[in-house]
Amino acid sequence: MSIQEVTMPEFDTNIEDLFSRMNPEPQTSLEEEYAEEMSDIEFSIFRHKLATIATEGKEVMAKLGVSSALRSEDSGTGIYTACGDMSSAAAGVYYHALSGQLPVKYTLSKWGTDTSVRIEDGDIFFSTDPIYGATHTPDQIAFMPVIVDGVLVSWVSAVAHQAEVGAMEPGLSALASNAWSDGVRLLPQKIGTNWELREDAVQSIGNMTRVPDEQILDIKARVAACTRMVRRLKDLAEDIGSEVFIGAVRRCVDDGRVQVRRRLLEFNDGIYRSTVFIDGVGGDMGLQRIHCAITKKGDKLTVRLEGTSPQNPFAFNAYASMPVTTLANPFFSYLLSDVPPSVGLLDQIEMEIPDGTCLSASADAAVSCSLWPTFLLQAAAHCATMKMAFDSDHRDKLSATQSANAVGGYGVGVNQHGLLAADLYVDPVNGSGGGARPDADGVDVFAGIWGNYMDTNDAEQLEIRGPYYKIYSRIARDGHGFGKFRGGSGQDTAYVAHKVPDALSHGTMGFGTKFPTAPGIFGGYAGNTTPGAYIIGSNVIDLMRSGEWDAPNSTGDLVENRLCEGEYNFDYATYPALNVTDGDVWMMVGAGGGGWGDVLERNPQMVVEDLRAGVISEFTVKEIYKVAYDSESLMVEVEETEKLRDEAREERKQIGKPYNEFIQEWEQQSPPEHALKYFGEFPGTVA
Amino acid sequence: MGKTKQTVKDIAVDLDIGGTFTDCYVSHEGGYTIGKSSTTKYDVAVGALRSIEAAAETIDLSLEELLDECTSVSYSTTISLNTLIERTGPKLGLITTEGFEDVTLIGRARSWVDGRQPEEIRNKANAHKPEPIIQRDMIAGVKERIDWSGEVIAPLDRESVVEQVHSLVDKGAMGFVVSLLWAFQNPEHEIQVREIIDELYPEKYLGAMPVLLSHEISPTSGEYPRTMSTILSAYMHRDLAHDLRSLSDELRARNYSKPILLVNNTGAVSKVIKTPALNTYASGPVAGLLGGARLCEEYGITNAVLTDMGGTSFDASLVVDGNPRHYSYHPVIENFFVSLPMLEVSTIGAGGGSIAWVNPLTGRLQVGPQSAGSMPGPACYDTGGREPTVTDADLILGYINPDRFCGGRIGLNAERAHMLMEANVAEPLGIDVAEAAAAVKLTVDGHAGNDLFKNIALRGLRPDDFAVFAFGGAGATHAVGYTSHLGAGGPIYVFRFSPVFCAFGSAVSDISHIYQNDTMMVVLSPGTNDIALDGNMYNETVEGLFEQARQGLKEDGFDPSDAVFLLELEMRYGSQIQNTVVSSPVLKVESDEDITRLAEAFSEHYIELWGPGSAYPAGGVEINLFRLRASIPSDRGRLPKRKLGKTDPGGALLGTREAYWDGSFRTTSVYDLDKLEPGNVVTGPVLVESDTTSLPIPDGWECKIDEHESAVISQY
Repeated sequence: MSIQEVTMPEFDTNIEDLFSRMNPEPQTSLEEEYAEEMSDIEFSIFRHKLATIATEGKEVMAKLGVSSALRSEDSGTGIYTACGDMSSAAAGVYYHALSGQLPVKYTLSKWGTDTSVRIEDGDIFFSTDPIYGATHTPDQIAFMPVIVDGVLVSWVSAVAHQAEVGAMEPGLSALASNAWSDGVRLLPQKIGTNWELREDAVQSIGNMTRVPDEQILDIKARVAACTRMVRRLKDLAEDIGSEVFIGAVRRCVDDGRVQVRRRLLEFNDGIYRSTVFIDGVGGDMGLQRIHCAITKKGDKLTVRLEGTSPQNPFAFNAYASMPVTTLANPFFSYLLSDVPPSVGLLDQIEMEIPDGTCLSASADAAVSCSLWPTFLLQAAAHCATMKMAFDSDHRDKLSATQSANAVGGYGVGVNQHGLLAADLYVDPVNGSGGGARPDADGVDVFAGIWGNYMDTNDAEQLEIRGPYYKIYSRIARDGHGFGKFRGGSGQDTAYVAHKVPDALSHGTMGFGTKFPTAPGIFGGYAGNTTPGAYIIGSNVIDLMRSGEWDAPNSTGDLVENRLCEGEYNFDYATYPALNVTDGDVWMMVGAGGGGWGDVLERNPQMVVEDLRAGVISEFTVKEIYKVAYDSESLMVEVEETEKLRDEAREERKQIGKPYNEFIQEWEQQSPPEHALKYFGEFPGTVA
Repeated sequence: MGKTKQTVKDIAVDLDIGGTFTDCYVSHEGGYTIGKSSTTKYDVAVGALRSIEAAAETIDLSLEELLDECTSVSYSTTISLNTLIERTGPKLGLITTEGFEDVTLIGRARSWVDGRQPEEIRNKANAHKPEPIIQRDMIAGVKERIDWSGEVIAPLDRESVVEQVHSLVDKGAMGFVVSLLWAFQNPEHEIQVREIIDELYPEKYLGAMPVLLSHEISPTSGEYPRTMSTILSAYMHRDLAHDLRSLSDELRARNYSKPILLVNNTGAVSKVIKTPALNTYASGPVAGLLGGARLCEEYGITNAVLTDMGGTSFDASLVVDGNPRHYSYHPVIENFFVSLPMLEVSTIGAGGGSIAWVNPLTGRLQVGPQSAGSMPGPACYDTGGREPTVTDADLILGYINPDRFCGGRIGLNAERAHMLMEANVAEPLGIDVAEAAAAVKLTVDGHAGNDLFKNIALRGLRPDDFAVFAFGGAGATHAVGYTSHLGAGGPIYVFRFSPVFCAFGSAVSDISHIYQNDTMMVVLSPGTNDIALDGNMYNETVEGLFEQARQGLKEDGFDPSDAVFLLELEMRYGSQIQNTVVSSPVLKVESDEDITRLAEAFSEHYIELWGPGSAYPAGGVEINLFRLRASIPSDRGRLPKRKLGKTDPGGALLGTREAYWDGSFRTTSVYDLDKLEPGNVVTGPVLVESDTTSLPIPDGWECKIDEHESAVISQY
């Protein structure tokens, strides 16, 4: 059978460092020739069409998939130029679409010229290797070329997080110590031809995981999304002509860059810094520093990460492409939320990441939990860019940092219906609190930092899928950063294992147990910390059956007042997987967003409203906000409040000291030695 | 249309109470007539009677004479939503499972996204959750717990119920919503709570409290949408009941003795007494969809997309294979995600009031998402609007007659439209005003067409297989523009009775009900693909639904043997997130072959929707929901036919007007839609207008008047 030659784009296939190819490729001659073929109005409609095609693909994936990540929008689809530059996306998670560039570029360079593989119409490619684009092993990518009349005109991708990927622990493996214990790692490779998946390949991938059926169904869902997008793009290209199509797809990238430039010019030049900390690595406690200094000059940003802690021996590392792609989130969800997402953004950002940090790990490092340091980088970058944009006309796009934590869990085992199942408990992680705004509180139970919006589950949705039920689910009390405007609280919840037919493996993820993840801004407090806590052998079910169970107001209430019997355990937020059985309880306190402004400037009426709603405690009203009120009617006592606040201001003055004196004292201080195990040099040099 | 009073028999009245107008469609033996009046928000009965009276006059009857001969009055509405928008409902208390008091405030985290446009969602710094209907201090938890299988884990604690009910009443509760976890699997505790409230506040006393139970309003899984459905129903109940009582009293005083029938969001019609308020909230547009399906039947059209471009939004709904039954089971009502089946009418884009502006960041034109709405409205309304809109662009392009807009009731100020289009769009773009207006129209048509395409395609359907029905003032004006993005060249239908289309739809609604059961059953085991379905359990579940349906029909006064039943199953592979709805080929499982047939029907439908590689029976097959529809078909709403005459439209020529085509103004013939006769053909570029709409027909397109007096626009 003769093979039709496919015309490839002008693409430099000599890739020494794939990460260096994140930025847009040089315009091809065809792209340049047809760049202005459409009028502005035609281009606007064309770009809108690409966005609707990407959205259609994402929704198809969600309709057909299994992973709870799809239910909760931890997914993305991308449309790329023929050279693999992202020109449109539907998210979900922007970096999913952006990171899809790498496997496409790798495939162009490696397989486009390899006659044993080739790139042909109807080919289906797949990758799970974070070196080649997947952000961590669970973020699996299907991608396909768009070929019209023998010419490669575009690519599409569909990415979603997979709940179980065959790592050394079920779900995410925090304890993985190298790349070979991280779960399935597949190079970008062809797993189907002529629009059809190869069953042998798909079954093989399924067999590498603990829950093959879920893996296989989700591959099919990703591929169905890609197929749908390819079909649409082919129709569009055939309709307007493939050259015009090529020019317009590339124009999305260049146009995006122009818009980013214009927006950046609206902000003041300067250096904006933010430093955040992860307080554990693997299952061990210890500080890691993520430092971000953003130099803004004209229409360019230089992001320097010098001072970030070194690569660690567990899975809390990321490859260098991750910091770059994750910057898409704070920008496209806030300051650039009115700009169509494209890789044009990256042309305006120069990254300086020293080798050997946890954000530029070596190829043999485990990266299962790469998201943790990169979420923190997002938090730091968000905080720095908000400072940059504060003095601008874009105050509607400002907020303190939302929680960067990812407190969640997963269960793997046979469920009450006799089915082998893996599921994420996404309610705390997807219900993290939003950051406070210049004129409003953050949103309670809002979204994760990594995506645009997401869904927590109803208790009934979870309980039908797994052998457990929830014993409470509340907006976390005091679970946010205080301030003139407070951060949004996360979700506070607990599960009890119930009617477990066999073993249920329960694991957790998250951090921020000792050190909060969402810094406050302009005097606002940071968000709350989130413990790992569970009770082995509780009598909760017995108490409920006998009518003696009082649902706690919060996890704090449960553990401080020992509301049930059992062995109480307190751990880091990510603790090793447990085999749980009936009566065992695990608690998850979601993290809240940072506060904005001074607590003493908060409207006392808003303080007592929060008390009435149970979002803050009496302690916080009195000790943090210094508000006096009648405990029966909850009416603010205005004069007494003013007096308390004046006293608090006086106390501040008393402990105030000149800047140089403060710095001298501050520089003498150090965290304890055991907390610096993974820190690197202390204090070290920071950008 | 007119008939003499001696021959008018078998009269049925269908009312549609909209935000601005109350429409009336009166069908009678051999024909129909229509009436229209302003909606009287202080008492909807006043406007309703006026519209019936207006219709009665056209057939030479008095209001009382018409009502005396009337066999049914049906009622559809969109104004019950006003209670919600204006937050004028009663203060309610919510009783829920202790520990879960925050469920409605949490709103599955994404309640800030529900019901909002993509542009609003992207800016996370501007996110806001909807203002709660029931504030946190009016939500009380009671001690009880039921698990997924319906087993009672914790018994209901009577003392905690009594204490919480008293506390809520003390805080001003005027009614209760009871929503307990898993109550749809085992309603025992919800029923007990109602009994306790009835005992504490008995009906015979003035302090009687209405109590709505979640398992009765929305017996489906998911505590957030179930609770919100119940809350909204309770909240809207009082005003709707007041409106209906008033209308019923007025009708009875004028000789009408039968009950009023309500059109539901499902497209069914039911008696007032059996209808939760929430089930009527969008019955107007839903009735319109049913009307569309009836027209498909009349025309022999298989697939149609009903488009309605009004002042603030662009809505679309589908008739597929002649069937309007594309349901949304989790619609969003005023930013609240609820759980109730309703015929799907999607808001997908901009309307005539959408504002045109030049984005300073891009230097390019954008249309929407901001809208001038009806107040201040487009600049040309001269009621304070300071920004140019889509309607202003249509006026500048000469497509709208400024003296005939809304039948001349709204005079348009073309000069103001011109001035603001120039200042806000033309000058920043460096083009002239006409070019700017044309760009606005091109943009809004292009985006509407793209969104419409996606909306159809996401149901696994081919957009170019669809005829377009255009409604709404701006619908016909833009129909050619957005239709060309579906990959089809029409036909586009504009109907003569569009002004009262929803009332027409109400006239053709079937009497029907939907019954659901949320029981999960494994059909084929994962991995082995062995048959796992318990046939007896399946049969008991289906028979239980049939029994409920037969009982319901009898209570409504119908013979169940006249009913048409349809059993639908929501099925999925393995533990997929979303279900696919399948019409079940098996009502009773009698053998393993029946079970195999069931699984195969699912896979066949799935492959049809998503392609050959998508199916995965090896992952196992599950049923997650049983749904039975029972309906008594209606045979009303047939369109009268007229003989086709000559093609020459000369008799309808109104004159000429300057209109913009392909880059320049040209003197263009203008025809009166109301005077065009069956058989007449006009070819573009040409303008066709009526009191309610304008049809710009571009070069390469023609408009024919068919035997039903409808305008049919297509490419030639």
